[in-house]
Amino acid sequence: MDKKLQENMPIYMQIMNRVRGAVASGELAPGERVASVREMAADFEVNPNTMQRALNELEREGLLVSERTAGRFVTMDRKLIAQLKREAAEDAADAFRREMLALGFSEEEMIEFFCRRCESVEFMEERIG
Amino acid sequence: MAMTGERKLKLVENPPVVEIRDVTKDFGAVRALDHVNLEIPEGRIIGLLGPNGSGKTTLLKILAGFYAEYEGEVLIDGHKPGAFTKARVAYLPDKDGLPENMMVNDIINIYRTFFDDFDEEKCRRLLEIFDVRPTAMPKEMSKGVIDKLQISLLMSRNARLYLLDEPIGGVDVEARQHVLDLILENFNPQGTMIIVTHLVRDIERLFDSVIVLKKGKVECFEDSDVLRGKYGGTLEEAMCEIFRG
Repeated sequence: MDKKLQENMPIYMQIMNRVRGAVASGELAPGERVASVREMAADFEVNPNTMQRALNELEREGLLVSERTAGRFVTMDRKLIAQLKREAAEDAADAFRREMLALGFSEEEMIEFFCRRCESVEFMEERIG
Repeated sequence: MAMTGERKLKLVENPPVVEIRDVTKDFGAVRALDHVNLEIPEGRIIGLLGPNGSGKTTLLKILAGFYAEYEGEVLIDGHKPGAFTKARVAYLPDKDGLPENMMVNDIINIYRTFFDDFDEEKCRRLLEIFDVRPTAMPKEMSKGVIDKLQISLLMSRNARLYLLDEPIGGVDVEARQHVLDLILENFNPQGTMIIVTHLVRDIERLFDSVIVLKKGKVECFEDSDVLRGKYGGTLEEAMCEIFRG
């Protein structure tokens, strides 16, 4: 999980996004125990109350589940995780489409460009090793 | 519904650490605090911000028990600032309040004698982290090292209320992060910390909320993230907007 945050927008929301991303990508596995508020606050270098708020909100969304004494865990609800991942992918795709439209690409052109770009990126990565 | 029950439980907060009711403080013709009202809960790290002369240090000193004369009422855990509260308030003044010609070892001994809540082992550990020698004396120290010594002494107390006046003013930029990490790691959630600073940018992640003073009045007491959202920027940018308005 990327621990770098910006100070120019609500910090708890940024933390929520990082945790959502980690769950969507599988970096945090379903049912995995998450670190304590104190540990995570130290990790992200934020106030423990800010961290508490972020984790509480994620609990309200159902992404994290609190077990009274054992701590906090990632949900086992794979449907919810799949939905989260789809929403994140939709956002990424929408942003791409928006920016390409702004550059004057038609949808057909942007798909073609995207495919060609992927090939050349792969090619470059292979060459650089 | 089970949900509602749970919500209600979370709303039950412990009584505030600090209650300030209609406090006014004059220095001759100058009004330093002007009808201030505040209720400060426990478990917070609060930035006390405002331009020069807005009353920040005066407020801190009243809480620390340095000024006995003011209008209105100040309560710390239900008691007026005095002998009882001094035992549970840890205060770090902006100008060095440490004896110049005394070794760190001896200063530690004084702290142990004066404060029942002082954790000597912790203090020695912190000083080691900061590379402050136990045989050094404040008169030989740079401003930054004195800051580190003071913060170590302060954080080693198990207090209810921590008052810090410009704690990192003399600490260089690289060491600042160190000091902040140390404050976060050693923060006692049964206590509350009020930090006066003009270096908002460097430590804004430390604050869960901020109190803004302007000409002796409370301009706002608000959650940091609420301010970031409302002003669409950093706390520092929000402060600029508030002071300008």
